[in-house]
Amino acid sequence: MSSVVVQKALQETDPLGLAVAFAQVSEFCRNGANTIFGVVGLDRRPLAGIALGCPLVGPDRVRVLLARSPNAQLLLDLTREGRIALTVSEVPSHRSVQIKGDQAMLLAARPDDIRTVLRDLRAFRDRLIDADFGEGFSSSYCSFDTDDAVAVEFVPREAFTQTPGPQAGERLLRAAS
Amino acid sequence: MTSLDQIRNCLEGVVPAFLATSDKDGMPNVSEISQVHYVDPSRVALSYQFFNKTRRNVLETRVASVVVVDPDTNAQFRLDLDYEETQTAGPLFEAMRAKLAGIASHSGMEKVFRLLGSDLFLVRRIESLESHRLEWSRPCNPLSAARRVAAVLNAMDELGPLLDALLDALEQHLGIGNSMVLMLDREANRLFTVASHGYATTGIGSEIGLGSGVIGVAAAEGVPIRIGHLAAEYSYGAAIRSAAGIAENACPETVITYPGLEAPLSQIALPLRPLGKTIGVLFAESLQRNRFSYDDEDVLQLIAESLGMRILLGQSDGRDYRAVQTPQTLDYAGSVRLRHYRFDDTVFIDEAYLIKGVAGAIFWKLASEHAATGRTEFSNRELRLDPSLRLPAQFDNLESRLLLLQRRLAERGGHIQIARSGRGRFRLDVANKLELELEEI
Repeated sequence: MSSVVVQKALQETDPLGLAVAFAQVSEFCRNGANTIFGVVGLDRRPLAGIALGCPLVGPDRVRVLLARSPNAQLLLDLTREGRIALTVSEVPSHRSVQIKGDQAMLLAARPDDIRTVLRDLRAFRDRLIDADFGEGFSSSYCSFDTDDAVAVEFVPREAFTQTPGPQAGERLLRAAS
Repeated sequence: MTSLDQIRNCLEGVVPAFLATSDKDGMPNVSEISQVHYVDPSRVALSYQFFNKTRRNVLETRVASVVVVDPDTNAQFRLDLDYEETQTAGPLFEAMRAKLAGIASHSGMEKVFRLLGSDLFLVRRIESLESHRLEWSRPCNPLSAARRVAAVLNAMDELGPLLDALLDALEQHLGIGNSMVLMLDREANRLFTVASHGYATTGIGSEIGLGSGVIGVAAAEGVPIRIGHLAAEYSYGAAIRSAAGIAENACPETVITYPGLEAPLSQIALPLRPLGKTIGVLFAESLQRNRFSYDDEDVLQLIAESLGMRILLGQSDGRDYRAVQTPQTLDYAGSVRLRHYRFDDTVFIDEAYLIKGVAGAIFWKLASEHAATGRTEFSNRELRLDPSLRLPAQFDNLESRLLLLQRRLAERGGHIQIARSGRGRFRLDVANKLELELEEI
């Protein structure tokens, strides 16, 4: 089957590119990836934050784990506003995907969330060390206090390529075609 | 309260920063960005490389949030930003362009990262975020080191020994083992090396084109240029080729080899700008990645500013030379043959290239007068008044040109020497008879 036919089939079955995004996010997280998110506050100002990982990606919900203490204001804004942008970037390839969604809910972190994220963070730490960030920094950056971890679940609505370059921000399928 | 000055190490571009924006409907957007550049205590600049969603959001809402991470301690901070303007040329743009080239080189993104503009933001608020932090101590106190290095400038009289002592002091007090001072020849749009430290060859007289490499860009823009990873477009391979291009009519044997490190990972160039006019560059480099920080840049810029003023004071010839040293000219049995090409004032001594340009013209004048009359004493004033030398009216760098000539003569065996002989005066010492040949090409 030609790539054009594949793309057309994907556009019909996955018009928002979400299935492609879920597959890529899962792959990036397994390989070692940085996870960041953004919300908008009541004052309409955006806020950026660092997440710990994505223990569940699709098909109807995306579940993100993050540390509560450094993200207190973001969590407050998120529960009010409900809209979230999540970007996962593979190290060292820089391949990145952004998923935007709404109806975000704050939930308690489950043991399997912690297990999945610890596994993915180990891979991320190893990639950082490979990329010459140093063992001390890499381990610190990828560590977290499990008691401080919380989960956020949201309904994914759109997916975009976020790999650095002129196509960053384009819908995933269009960018891939 | 955390200030931007306290967290500059987060802005080195070692760890990417994370930028959130939103569109006018309040939908957030988040992406990694390669550069958050420290501008002043209240402003940062972000690199604008593509007209993408982030860019559209910034122009639409004029607000952003960025998380930055300290690569040494893992300290993390969130900055609330208000967009002010975009600059597409000038000192800030060039400093960011050089740094971005280094970041791109480090992350294998040379073909992707290209700076279109520097987006200037006011920092409204800095929030310190909880993270697992590492202990980290600074290798030396930069302010104290700057004071000790700058003290050298008051301890020396003549420019040559002063520059040598200064570069020595950079190694002793700041651990900078490879450095040089280059002076600007504004008419030729080139910088020429007058002092170097830590290299296999001195490279005295080697040239860099204005605008080429880290040194050339620092001189052209009058702004410090710092790069943490060797970037092809700023490497001296490129710079030397460009410099050679400027003088492409010159014979290959007149090119003096640039002394710099073959594969440096960090470079920094600070313009010498007394009274706001660039006269040269203080340059340092290292085999270590990210060797020069914002603090190093501040320290070296302070030293460069003092050095610039010191050179300017020297050019005014207002000093007394109480202790004049007499260089030893070597005994030489035969005559010394000098050949001068009028085209670019290139001078050869016994078939070996000596010098060219204004310094070459100065030397030919001195040698001609000596050969014709036996004269050995000359003054800076008469050189400045001689129209054939084409020295500019202001900032003529005469001292630097004489220093270059003095050092090239010393490197060519010491049969001919120049040395200061008093206030605004110098002497030409020649071991034996000069034979002069003038080529009219």
